Amino acid sequence: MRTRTAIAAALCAALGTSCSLQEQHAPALVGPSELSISISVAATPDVLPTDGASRAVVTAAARDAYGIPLSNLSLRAAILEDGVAVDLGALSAHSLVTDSSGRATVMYTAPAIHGQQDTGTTVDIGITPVGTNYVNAVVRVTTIRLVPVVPVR
Amino acid sequence: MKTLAFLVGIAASSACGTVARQGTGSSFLIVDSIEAASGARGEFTSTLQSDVVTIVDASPSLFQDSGRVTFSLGLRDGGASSAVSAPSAANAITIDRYRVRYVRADGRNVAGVDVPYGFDGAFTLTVAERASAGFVLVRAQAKAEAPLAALGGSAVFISTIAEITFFGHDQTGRAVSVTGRIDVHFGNWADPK
Repeated sequence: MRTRTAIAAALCAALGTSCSLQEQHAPALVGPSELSISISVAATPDVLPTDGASRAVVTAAARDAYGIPLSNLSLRAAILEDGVAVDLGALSAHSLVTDSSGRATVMYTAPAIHGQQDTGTTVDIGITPVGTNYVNAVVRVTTIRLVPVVPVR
Repeated sequence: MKTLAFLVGIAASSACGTVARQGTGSSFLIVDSIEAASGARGEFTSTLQSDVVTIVDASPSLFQDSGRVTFSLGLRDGGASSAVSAPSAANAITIDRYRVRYVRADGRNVAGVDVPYGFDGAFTLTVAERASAGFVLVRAQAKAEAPLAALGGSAVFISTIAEITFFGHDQTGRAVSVTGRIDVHFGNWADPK
């Protein structure tokens, strides 16, 4: 019995001393990899004929600094060309709020322009988070290419 | 008492005996440093500001970004302190392939959506003691597609950690690999004058 006790004590001592030299691990990665509010904007499709009826679904997906979907985030949508708001097509809404999955959608309808040359026209749909100081606002855009219904050669 | 000594030895060795080394060869590689240079600037630094579009003579241009790695050779059996082992020709390690993967701290790592696609590349370098080699860290095509292309016209930056794993073998054919990491911050950085 004494021998067993001695063995057990020795084992515990050996494990105890050896385990004080613990293997070290780096902590898990944390922190934002974009702006602290990340907003991805996508247009589907991203090419529209200028027939006054074709539409694209513009989706904004918002995430917080940890990559978690950000719900109830107010967004402002606008049609932009070179960063300036323009009247080139129409949006189904200008004020959006993200849902529980962090997403908000708006429909863009192409303008009706017939018989023009294909000059490589594009239009930007800008999505801006609504906050408390516009100085901090960063517009995220997705670009849609507008093509003539029948290109003139 | 023999049993006691044996069990104590087992317990101690199992708890502390892990020597983390890559491969089964008698030698291994140590990554001394990884540096990178923006293709638009050319100066090597320990983190990379990757410019997704650079204006050259009023034209938007794409540059791929380079990396530079320096290896040292280590021996598993370093010998006694009075007779330190020196590597033989068979211990030299030849690197002939590498893999780049980008990861984000926020956990969003979908290639082509959140981070650029990873890729495999190749160069050949034999490390007998210490040696350096250049490699491609960010390919030009990555800057021409999502998610980097959209950064050209915005104030958004994407911060990633590039994991570069180098693959090779010693001169007896035993495989060796070693991994290093470097910050890569993608964005439309100010262009050099």
